[in-house]
Amino acid sequence: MTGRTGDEAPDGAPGGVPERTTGDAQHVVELEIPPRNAYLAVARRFVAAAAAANRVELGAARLNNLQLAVSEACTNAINAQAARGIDDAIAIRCTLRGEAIEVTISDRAGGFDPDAEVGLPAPDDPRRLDFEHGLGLQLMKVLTDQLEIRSSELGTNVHVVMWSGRAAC
Amino acid sequence: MVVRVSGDVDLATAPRLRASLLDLAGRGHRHLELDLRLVDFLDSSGIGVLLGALRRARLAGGSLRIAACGDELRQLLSLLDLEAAFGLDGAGRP
Repeated sequence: MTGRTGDEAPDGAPGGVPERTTGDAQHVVELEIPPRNAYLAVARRFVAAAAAANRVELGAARLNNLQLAVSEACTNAINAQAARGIDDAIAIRCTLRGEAIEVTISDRAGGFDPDAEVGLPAPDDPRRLDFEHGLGLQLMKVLTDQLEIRSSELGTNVHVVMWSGRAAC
Repeated sequence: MVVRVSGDVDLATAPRLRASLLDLAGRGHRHLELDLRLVDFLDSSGIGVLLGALRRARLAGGSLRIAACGDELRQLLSLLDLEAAFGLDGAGRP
Protein backbone atom coordinates (compact mmCIF):
# COMPACT_ATOMS: atom_id res chain seq x y z
CA MET A 1 0.00 0.00 0.00
CA THR A 2 1.38 3.43 -0.90
CA GLY A 3 1.42 6.41 1.44
CA ARG A 4 -1.81 8.07 2.35
CA THR A 5 -2.83 11.71 2.38
CA GLY A 6 -3.99 13.35 5.56
CA ASP A 7 -7.70 12.97 4.92
CA GLU A 8 -7.76 9.42 3.64
CA ALA A 9 -8.02 6.43 5.92
CA PRO A 10 -6.02 3.34 4.95
CA ASP A 11 -8.21 0.93 3.07
CA GLY A 12 -9.19 -2.19 4.91
CA ALA A 13 -7.70 -1.16 8.24
CA PRO A 14 -9.60 -2.70 11.12
CA GLY A 15 -10.49 -0.64 14.14
CA GLY A 16 -13.08 1.74 15.48
CA VAL A 17 -12.52 4.64 13.07
CA PRO A 18 -15.33 4.79 10.52
CA GLU A 19 -13.88 4.69 7.05
CA ARG A 20 -15.26 4.96 3.59
CA THR A 21 -14.22 3.17 0.47
CA THR A 22 -11.19 4.93 -1.02
CA GLY A 23 -9.49 4.90 -4.39
CA ASP A 24 -10.19 1.67 -6.22
CA ALA A 25 -11.43 -0.13 -3.15
CA GLN A 26 -14.64 -2.10 -3.46
CA HIS A 27 -16.50 -3.22 -0.37
CA VAL A 28 -19.40 -5.62 -0.28
CA VAL A 29 -22.11 -5.79 2.35
CA GLU A 30 -24.91 -8.31 2.06
CA LEU A 31 -28.21 -8.91 3.76
CA GLU A 32 -30.62 -11.81 3.51
CA ILE A 33 -34.23 -11.32 4.49
CA PRO A 34 -37.04 -13.80 4.88
CA PRO A 35 -39.42 -13.38 1.93
CA ARG A 36 -41.94 -11.48 4.07
CA ASN A 37 -43.17 -7.99 3.42
CA ALA A 38 -42.38 -6.96 7.00
CA TYR A 39 -38.70 -7.02 6.05
CA LEU A 40 -38.94 -4.56 3.17
CA ALA A 41 -38.23 -1.75 5.62
CA VAL A 42 -35.15 -3.61 6.86
CA ALA A 43 -33.86 -3.95 3.30
CA ARG A 44 -34.41 -0.25 2.59
CA ARG A 45 -32.66 0.86 5.75
CA PHE A 46 -29.81 -1.56 5.10
CA VAL A 47 -29.19 -0.11 1.64
CA ALA A 48 -29.41 3.45 2.96
CA ALA A 49 -26.87 2.65 5.65
CA ALA A 50 -24.57 0.96 3.13
CA ALA A 51 -24.82 3.94 0.78
CA ALA A 52 -23.85 6.26 3.63
CA ALA A 53 -20.64 4.27 4.09
CA ASN A 54 -19.59 4.86 0.50
CA ARG A 55 -16.86 7.39 -0.22
CA VAL A 56 -19.09 9.74 -2.19
CA GLU A 57 -22.64 10.17 -0.94
CA LEU A 58 -25.71 10.04 -3.15
CA GLY A 59 -27.62 12.96 -1.73
CA ALA A 60 -31.06 12.76 -0.12
CA ALA A 61 -33.22 12.69 -3.26
CA ARG A 62 -31.18 10.06 -5.07
CA LEU A 63 -30.85 8.00 -1.92
CA ASN A 64 -34.64 7.98 -1.71
CA ASN A 65 -34.79 6.92 -5.36
CA LEU A 66 -32.44 4.02 -4.59
CA GLN A 67 -34.56 2.98 -1.62
CA LEU A 68 -37.64 3.09 -3.82
CA ALA A 69 -35.95 0.88 -6.41
CA VAL A 70 -34.86 -1.58 -3.73
CA SER A 71 -38.35 -1.63 -2.24
CA GLU A 72 -39.87 -2.31 -5.64
CA ALA A 73 -37.37 -5.06 -6.48
CA CYS A 74 -37.87 -6.76 -3.12
CA THR A 75 -41.65 -6.44 -3.41
CA ASN A 76 -41.53 -8.16 -6.81
CA ALA A 77 -39.22 -10.85 -5.42
CA ILE A 78 -41.52 -11.57 -2.48
CA ASN A 79 -44.61 -11.70 -4.70
CA ALA A 80 -42.92 -13.85 -7.36
CA GLN A 81 -41.67 -16.37 -4.84
CA ALA A 82 -45.01 -16.46 -3.02
CA ALA A 83 -46.80 -17.17 -6.30
CA ARG A 84 -44.50 -20.17 -6.82
CA GLY A 85 -44.58 -21.42 -3.25
CA ILE A 86 -40.88 -20.64 -2.76
CA ASP A 87 -39.79 -19.66 0.73
CA ASP A 88 -36.08 -18.98 0.22
CA ALA A 89 -34.45 -15.89 1.66
CA ILE A 90 -34.03 -12.89 -0.62
CA ALA A 91 -30.50 -11.55 -0.89
CA ILE A 92 -29.64 -7.85 -1.10
CA ARG A 93 -26.01 -7.32 -1.96
CA CYS A 94 -24.48 -3.83 -1.91
CA THR A 95 -21.15 -3.25 -3.66
CA LEU A 96 -19.65 0.06 -2.64
CA ARG A 97 -17.26 1.53 -5.14
CA GLY A 98 -16.25 5.12 -4.48
CA GLU A 99 -17.85 6.36 -7.68
CA ALA A 100 -20.97 4.20 -7.49
CA ILE A 101 -23.08 1.94 -5.40
CA GLU A 102 -24.42 -1.27 -6.91
CA VAL A 103 -27.28 -3.19 -5.39
CA THR A 104 -28.25 -6.68 -6.51
CA ILE A 105 -31.52 -8.21 -5.33
CA SER A 106 -31.66 -11.96 -5.87
CA ASP A 107 -34.58 -14.34 -5.51
CA ARG A 108 -35.34 -17.96 -6.42
CA ALA A 109 -38.44 -17.24 -8.52
CA GLY A 110 -37.58 -17.99 -12.10
CA GLY A 111 -39.24 -17.25 -15.38
CA PHE A 112 -39.65 -13.47 -15.14
CA ASP A 113 -39.55 -11.65 -18.46
CA PRO A 114 -38.85 -7.96 -17.83
CA ASP A 115 -39.50 -7.10 -21.47
CA ALA A 116 -43.00 -8.50 -21.30
CA GLU A 117 -44.15 -5.94 -18.74
CA VAL A 118 -46.76 -3.50 -20.03
CA GLY A 119 -45.91 0.17 -19.76
CA LEU A 120 -48.00 2.78 -17.99
CA PRO A 121 -50.90 4.26 -19.93
CA ALA A 122 -50.42 7.91 -20.86
CA PRO A 123 -51.19 10.49 -18.15
CA ASP A 124 -54.35 11.68 -19.87
CA ASP A 125 -55.58 8.14 -20.53
CA PRO A 126 -58.49 7.30 -18.20
CA ARG A 127 -57.01 3.83 -17.81
CA ARG A 128 -54.11 5.44 -15.97
CA LEU A 129 -56.13 5.42 -12.78
CA ASP A 130 -56.76 1.70 -13.14
CA PHE A 131 -53.08 0.92 -13.37
CA GLU A 132 -52.29 -0.21 -9.86
CA HIS A 133 -49.92 -2.99 -10.74
CA GLY A 134 -46.68 -3.18 -12.71
CA LEU A 135 -45.59 0.25 -11.57
CA GLY A 136 -42.61 -1.17 -9.74
CA LEU A 137 -40.61 -2.08 -12.81
CA GLN A 138 -41.30 1.27 -14.45
CA LEU A 139 -40.14 3.08 -11.34
CA MET A 140 -36.96 1.04 -11.14
CA LYS A 141 -36.11 1.97 -14.72
CA VAL A 142 -36.68 5.68 -14.24
CA LEU A 143 -35.18 6.14 -10.79
CA THR A 144 -31.85 4.37 -11.28
CA ASP A 145 -28.80 5.13 -13.39
CA GLN A 146 -28.45 1.58 -14.59
CA LEU A 147 -30.82 -1.37 -14.34
CA GLU A 148 -30.24 -4.92 -15.43
CA ILE A 149 -32.61 -7.81 -14.81
CA ARG A 150 -31.51 -11.36 -15.43
CA SER A 151 -33.96 -14.19 -14.98
CA SER A 152 -33.66 -17.92 -15.48
CA GLU A 153 -35.62 -20.89 -14.18
CA LEU A 154 -33.43 -20.76 -11.07
CA GLY A 155 -34.28 -17.23 -10.08
CA THR A 156 -34.08 -13.57 -10.86
CA ASN A 157 -31.32 -11.03 -10.22
CA VAL A 158 -32.11 -7.32 -10.31
CA HIS A 159 -28.96 -5.24 -10.60
CA VAL A 160 -29.12 -1.52 -9.87
CA VAL A 161 -26.31 1.03 -10.20
CA MET A 162 -26.35 4.57 -8.84
CA TRP A 163 -23.44 6.83 -9.66
CA SER A 164 -22.18 9.04 -6.87
CA GLY A 165 -22.15 12.81 -7.12
CA ARG A 166 -24.97 13.19 -9.67
CA ALA A 167 -28.00 15.48 -9.49
CA ALA A 168 -31.41 13.90 -8.95
CA CYS A 169 -33.61 13.28 -12.00
CA MET B 1 -62.67 14.65 6.52
CA VAL B 2 -58.88 14.92 6.84
CA VAL B 3 -56.96 11.68 7.03
CA ARG B 4 -53.48 11.89 8.48
CA VAL B 5 -51.07 9.12 7.44
CA SER B 6 -47.68 8.50 9.01
CA GLY B 7 -44.82 6.04 8.67
CA ASP B 8 -43.93 3.79 5.77
CA VAL B 9 -46.48 2.74 3.16
CA ASP B 10 -45.20 -0.36 1.36
CA LEU B 11 -46.36 -3.92 0.65
CA ALA B 12 -46.50 -4.60 4.38
CA THR B 13 -48.44 -1.56 5.49
CA ALA B 14 -50.41 -0.52 2.40
CA PRO B 15 -53.26 -2.94 3.19
CA ARG B 16 -53.78 -1.19 6.51
CA LEU B 17 -54.14 2.18 4.79
CA ARG B 18 -56.45 0.65 2.21
CA ALA B 19 -58.64 -0.84 4.93
CA SER B 20 -58.82 2.50 6.75
CA LEU B 21 -59.81 4.38 3.60
CA LEU B 22 -62.38 1.72 2.73
CA ASP B 23 -63.79 1.95 6.23
CA LEU B 24 -64.15 5.72 6.01
CA ALA B 25 -65.84 5.49 2.63
CA GLY B 26 -68.15 2.82 3.99
CA ARG B 27 -69.15 5.10 6.82
CA GLY B 28 -70.22 7.78 4.37
CA HIS B 29 -67.16 10.03 4.20
CA ARG B 30 -67.24 10.73 0.50
CA HIS B 31 -64.83 13.67 0.48
CA LEU B 32 -61.42 12.81 1.83
CA GLU B 33 -58.36 14.98 2.23
CA LEU B 34 -55.08 13.21 2.85
CA ASP B 35 -52.35 14.76 4.94
CA LEU B 36 -49.26 12.75 4.01
CA ARG B 37 -46.59 14.98 5.51
CA LEU B 38 -45.62 12.37 8.09
CA VAL B 39 -45.25 9.59 5.52
CA ASP B 40 -41.57 8.58 5.65
CA PHE B 41 -41.66 6.33 2.64
CA LEU B 42 -44.20 5.34 0.01
CA ASP B 43 -43.67 3.08 -2.98
CA SER B 44 -45.85 1.60 -5.73
CA SER B 45 -47.85 -0.41 -3.20
CA GLY B 46 -48.82 2.89 -1.61
CA ILE B 47 -49.50 4.50 -4.97
CA GLY B 48 -51.81 1.61 -5.76
CA VAL B 49 -53.80 2.20 -2.59
CA LEU B 50 -54.07 5.92 -3.31
CA LEU B 51 -55.20 5.29 -6.88
CA GLY B 52 -57.72 2.71 -5.75
CA ALA B 53 -59.14 5.09 -3.18
CA LEU B 54 -59.30 7.90 -5.74
CA ARG B 55 -61.15 5.70 -8.21
CA ARG B 56 -63.64 4.53 -5.60
CA ALA B 57 -64.25 8.09 -4.43
CA ARG B 58 -64.99 9.24 -7.97
CA LEU B 59 -67.27 6.28 -8.66
CA ALA B 60 -69.21 7.15 -5.52
CA GLY B 61 -69.57 10.76 -6.61
CA GLY B 62 -67.14 11.93 -3.97
CA SER B 63 -63.58 13.21 -4.01
CA LEU B 64 -60.13 12.45 -2.71
CA ARG B 65 -57.24 14.82 -2.75
CA ILE B 66 -53.85 15.14 -1.15
CA ALA B 67 -53.91 18.23 1.05
CA ALA B 68 -50.23 18.08 1.94
CA CYS B 69 -47.24 15.83 1.44
CA GLY B 70 -43.46 15.84 1.75
CA ASP B 71 -41.01 16.66 -1.02
CA GLU B 72 -40.02 13.12 -1.88
CA LEU B 73 -43.58 11.89 -2.26
CA ARG B 74 -44.36 15.02 -4.23
CA GLN B 75 -41.49 14.20 -6.60
CA LEU B 76 -42.74 10.64 -7.02
CA LEU B 77 -46.23 11.84 -7.84
CA SER B 78 -44.77 14.33 -10.30
CA LEU B 79 -42.73 11.58 -11.93
CA LEU B 80 -45.89 9.52 -12.35
CA ASP B 81 -47.88 12.51 -13.64
CA LEU B 82 -50.34 12.08 -10.79
CA GLU B 83 -50.17 15.51 -9.20
CA ALA B 84 -53.25 16.87 -10.93
CA ALA B 85 -55.23 13.70 -10.23
CA PHE B 86 -54.72 14.19 -6.50
CA GLY B 87 -55.42 17.89 -6.50
CA LEU B 88 -51.81 19.04 -6.43
CA ASP B 89 -50.86 21.56 -9.05
CA GLY B 90 -47.65 21.33 -11.07
CA ALA B 91 -46.07 24.32 -9.40
CA GLY B 92 -45.47 22.68 -6.06
CA ARG B 93 -48.58 23.89 -4.30
CA PRO B 94 -51.74 21.96 -3.31
